[in-house]
Amino acid sequence: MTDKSIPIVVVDDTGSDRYIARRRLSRHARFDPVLEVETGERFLSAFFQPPVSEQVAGRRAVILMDINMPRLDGFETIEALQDRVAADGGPDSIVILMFTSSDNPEDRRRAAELPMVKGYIVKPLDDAGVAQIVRLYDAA
Amino acid sequence: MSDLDKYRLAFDVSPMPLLLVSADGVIRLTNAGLDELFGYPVGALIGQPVEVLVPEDVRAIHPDLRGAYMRVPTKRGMGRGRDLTGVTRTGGRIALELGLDPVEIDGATWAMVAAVDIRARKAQDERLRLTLDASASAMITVDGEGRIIAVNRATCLLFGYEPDELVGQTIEMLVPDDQRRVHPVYRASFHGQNRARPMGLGGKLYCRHRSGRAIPVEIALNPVSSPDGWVVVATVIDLTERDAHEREITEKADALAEMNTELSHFAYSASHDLKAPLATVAGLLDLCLEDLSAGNGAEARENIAAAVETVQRAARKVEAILSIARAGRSPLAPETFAVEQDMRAIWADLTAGTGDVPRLDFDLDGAGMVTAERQTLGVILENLASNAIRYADPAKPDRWVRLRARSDADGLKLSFADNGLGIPAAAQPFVFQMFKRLDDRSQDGLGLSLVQKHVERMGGCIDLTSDVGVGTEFTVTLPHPSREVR
Repeated sequence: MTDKSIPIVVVDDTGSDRYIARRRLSRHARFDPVLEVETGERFLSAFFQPPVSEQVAGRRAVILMDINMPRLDGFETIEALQDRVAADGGPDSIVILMFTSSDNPEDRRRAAELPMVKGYIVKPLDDAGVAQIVRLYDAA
Repeated sequence: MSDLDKYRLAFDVSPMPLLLVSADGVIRLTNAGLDELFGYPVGALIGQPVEVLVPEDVRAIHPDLRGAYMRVPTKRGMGRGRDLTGVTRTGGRIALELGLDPVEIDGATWAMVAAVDIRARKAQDERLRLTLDASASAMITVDGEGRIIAVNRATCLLFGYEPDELVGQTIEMLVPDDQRRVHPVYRASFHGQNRARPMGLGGKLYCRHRSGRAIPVEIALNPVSSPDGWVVVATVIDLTERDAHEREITEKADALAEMNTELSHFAYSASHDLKAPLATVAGLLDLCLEDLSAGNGAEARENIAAAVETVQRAARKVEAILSIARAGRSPLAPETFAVEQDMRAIWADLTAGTGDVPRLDFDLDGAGMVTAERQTLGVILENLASNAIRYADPAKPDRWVRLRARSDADGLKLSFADNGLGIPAAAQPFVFQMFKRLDDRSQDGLGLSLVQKHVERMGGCIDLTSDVGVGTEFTVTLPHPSREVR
């Protein structure tokens, strides 16, 4: 394990789920203060602008991506992000983890098909989940 | 011994009915068999014109026919002889096959006639014909040259021809136009093999109806050795109904597959939308335990409040899902009521305590009386109105919502229009889908699903037209409600 801290963004439309993630992650020494975004669309614009772009610049960031969101769902957001990174370039490397209450095989299959997605974290986030995020981050 | 005496001797020992006729048509000699066949006492026919044995309808022309034979007398053997009818003494008609031989009797040419009673054979032929005609399958007998020798009744029904329009023609008249040229080649190769087999080698097979229509068929070919040489009996089974039945089954399977897709879509959505609040509540309560252990009562109270709110929202969602499930059945008795009054009450409930709401307009015919399931219509209007309020366009100074109602012979047409934000074209196909939330203003993503389910259960339909920046109009068309309530 390195001591380098990890920038982390939580994309989730449910306020309580962001709150739970914030509390769990803030107790862990590895993580920067959590950046919160409420929708996929806002994430797509926020990711390429300050303060998010500044915080992730030159570092590998973790994105916890909710699946079930209005307008763009988590998968659609990641697809749009992939297109944008392919076109304009973007942050050097990001570790996207699906963040959902659904243990649905269909969702796991879709997640596995997206090259940017490195893992699957099932809600509610607890300390074991946080440890899993760190493991997946270090392995990625 | 005269010639006649010699013949008399031969006649008496012959079991076959025989007679001799002189050129003038007079019966000169009969044997016992012939007398018996025609019901005359022995010898009673001698001296009579042969026409007494001929049916009335040909009696007049018979002397000419007889005369023609006598001018060019030829042997006409049995079997190749013609099937004729004879008349007995009592006027009964009997089917006969006759053989004719010119014979020299004391210097004159007479005719010797051999008669065979073919009534039994005729009856057997008739029984066979009736049996073949009773068959539901078309049966066609074809000779080595592809000429139709015989058809049964089912053949005529299937192809739309009379028997005499088919017999004597080549079988290619029943073959589809595009196969007509190659069919004789197949036919010739089959005749060469003389082995029974189904036709078409497993592919789809069609025949041609008189009208040109293609009939889907199955055909079995059976070579039969007949007195006329090898013939082929083709048994043709009409598959029109079976094909229609297959199509029906395919359609039903497709409908079931569609329902199954809908169900798995529901299961998928439920796995998100019903499980998500539970995960949230579990996460919040887990943190509460920590907060309480840490003596942080204020944080714990906030988390409990958030958990309660999540649970309440989830309970409302479950209730909404149940009402969609219930909307699929239990029709209510229709009522005739003033729709404006109901709409105003719904509007007042929805906008209570909120200041800046769109103006509610009406465009009703007559007194605005409609006949429908009042409570169901209330649910529909409430959901449409709730959406219109949430998706009002704040940029427009004059915001309005308009309910239009028209009743006519076909039923009731309600339109609910607004000048709100409008729905993007890409999102329009999904607005009726369960759990589909358009954006943050959406609630549980169930309202329009419920509306659509109700409308469809009442036998109606709902349409949507919308332009971003202009507004949205939902049109609900309902047939006149039936008075019967299950």
